[in-house]
Amino acid sequence: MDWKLNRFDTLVEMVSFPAPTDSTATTRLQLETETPIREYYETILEDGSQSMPELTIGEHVNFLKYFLLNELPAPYKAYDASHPWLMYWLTNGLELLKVDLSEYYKQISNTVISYGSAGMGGGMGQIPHVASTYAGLMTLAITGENWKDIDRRGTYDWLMSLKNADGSFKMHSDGETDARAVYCALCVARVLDIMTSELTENTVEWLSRCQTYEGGFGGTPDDEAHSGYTFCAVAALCILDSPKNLKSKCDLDRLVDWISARQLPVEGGFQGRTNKLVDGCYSHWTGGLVPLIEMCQPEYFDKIISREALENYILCCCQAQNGGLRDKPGKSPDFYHSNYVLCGLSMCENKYELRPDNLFSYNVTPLKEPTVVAIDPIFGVPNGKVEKFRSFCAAQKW
Amino acid sequence: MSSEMETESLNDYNWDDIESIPIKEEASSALCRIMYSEEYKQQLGYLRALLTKQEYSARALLLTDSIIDAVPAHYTAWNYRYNIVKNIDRDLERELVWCQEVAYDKPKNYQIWHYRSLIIELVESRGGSVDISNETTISDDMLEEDSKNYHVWAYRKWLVRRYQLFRDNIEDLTTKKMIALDVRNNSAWSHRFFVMLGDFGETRPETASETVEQEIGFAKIMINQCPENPSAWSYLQGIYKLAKKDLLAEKEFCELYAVGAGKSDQRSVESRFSLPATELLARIYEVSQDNSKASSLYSILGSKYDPMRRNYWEMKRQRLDSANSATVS
Ligand SMILES: [Zn+2]
Repeated sequence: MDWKLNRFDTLVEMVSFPAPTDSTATTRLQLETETPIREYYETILEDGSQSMPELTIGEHVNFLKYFLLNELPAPYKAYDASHPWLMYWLTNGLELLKVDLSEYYKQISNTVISYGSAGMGGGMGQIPHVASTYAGLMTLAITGENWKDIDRRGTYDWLMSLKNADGSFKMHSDGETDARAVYCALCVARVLDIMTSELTENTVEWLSRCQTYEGGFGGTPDDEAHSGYTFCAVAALCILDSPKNLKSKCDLDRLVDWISARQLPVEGGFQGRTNKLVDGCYSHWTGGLVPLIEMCQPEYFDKIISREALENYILCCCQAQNGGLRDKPGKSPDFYHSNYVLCGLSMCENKYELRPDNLFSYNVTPLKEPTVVAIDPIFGVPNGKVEKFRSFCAAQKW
Repeated sequence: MSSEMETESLNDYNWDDIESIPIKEEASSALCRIMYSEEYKQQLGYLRALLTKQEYSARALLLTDSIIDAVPAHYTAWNYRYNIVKNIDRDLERELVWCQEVAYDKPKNYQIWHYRSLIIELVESRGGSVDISNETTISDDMLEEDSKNYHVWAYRKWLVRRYQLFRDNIEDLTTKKMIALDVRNNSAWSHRFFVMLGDFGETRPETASETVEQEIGFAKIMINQCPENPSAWSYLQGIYKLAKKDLLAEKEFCELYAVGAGKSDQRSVESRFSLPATELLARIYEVSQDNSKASSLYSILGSKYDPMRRNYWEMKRQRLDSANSATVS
């Protein structure tokens, strides 16, 4: 119960951080978010350290499992181009919560493979999309099924058709180009073991150009620094080469300063851009950068951010009463936030170190009794899954 | 639904020749099925049938409009629409108007901006031209709704790059105006950095150094208004790094706003607590080998002003002992 006390002490510091005093539109919105959170933290403090909230695992499992196994209500039509994402968020979220889904693995995998085998679309009959393919393949990495049904040669040719001369990738035929597409394309190529020098030519250079004067990375060169894209760009660099060599590909000091500054002093959670509001999903997009940096430079371990403060935000503010995790108090829970908040929690609970013998395996040491499964910090699924899928592929001809 | 299309409905067309390809997942054991309305289900069935036939026609164009209206993220419908527009004799000016209406109708829709850029490229590849001021106006309108809309700003940067609008008067005034409205609007700062300095190194050296001096001045005026604002401090630092100038020149300016620095003690420190100023000043001390001053700033940040990140400040403090030859940038 030592960590509970640590979190309590951290919370004391959080509530005593002074509020901003300027009167810009940004600050007005910030205060609207920050003030109720501060007041809520104060009520928790009054109740003492033993009342610090914990992860309400049962409720979250019920929430995610219900939607995995039942038809989705009509408003989910908005996700009609994101079916593989729905599968990934729900499956991965439940796996992180240590639920045994093996009885559904076949059904999950058959659903995913119906979206395509040489690049997956956002649903049946949709054209292949790099992000959909990432989500679909990560789901298959979890289930361990239908691996031989993936057309690796076809996927490779399709990825090559989306490659731009400058090293970046398009999301789909005539689609947009950004760091997310590059990350997803490289995850796909790595897990299917189809990474060639032709596929990755100029990609490091293009990613490096996405780092901005602030230190984070934008979606494309010269765009505003944003954690979603920063995670994608840095994780992509860690796929292209060992995280150990990250330093030679970007301004690491500025990047670390930028990541550190995204943690909000009162809330404890992260914002995704300078002067924007806290959001639970950035527990992964910003927080997920932390283990990558810690693997790159072990002396940064537990220095960049406060894991206790992030846990306070996740456990006090992101859990919806009836299950599911959310952006912030007042918002409804959803699958996307459920998954990425849990990924962030996993980061808080573990220490990652590179293994000298294998660039893409990590030694994971729990920092305390873990409540969720340890994730793979680069691919965003339970640790070890991607390497299994990759070695299966490596043993096949293509 | 766009106004142009409102007069038209899918029923105006004959679909008898189309064998709809329904999404058959109901019959299977697929997971994450969505309860579609009958209308949407029918549209999807037609979409798949037309895609299979690769039909490029007026009715296909109208179908994409309906599907995009129902599901703005339906990238397959967007992509199909683009191919239809390319292949039929569609008036591209009308297509841009359609785009604009969809944008105003659904401001969060981000597919629209990429699509719009594709259409503009198409117009120009056919020897036509677009009115850039119209593009500026549309994005201005969208930013009025949501001043930090990432996709609109990205579109705006695309315009600047494509039409070489560096240091353009309108871009200059727009960013100035938006920063004046909300000095913490980081998107506006980021855009300004690109507009003013995005072609740094490609311009004449005189232009470059003149811009650098002007923007350093601008950043400092804005810092005076709100010293706590990290956007303006990053901008200032970014310019110094880009122009490879020595930040030592800003030591006294930082001292005005940093906690724990001599001069700021005369100010009301508590109310003007500027973390970015303190952080930058510590770095300047570091590089000018004034390790004891740097060390005391890092200490006070960790112990008093930013205790949540005490490990971070402590790490910076400890680094002073090991490496003191780093360059300020
Ligand atoms: Zn979010």
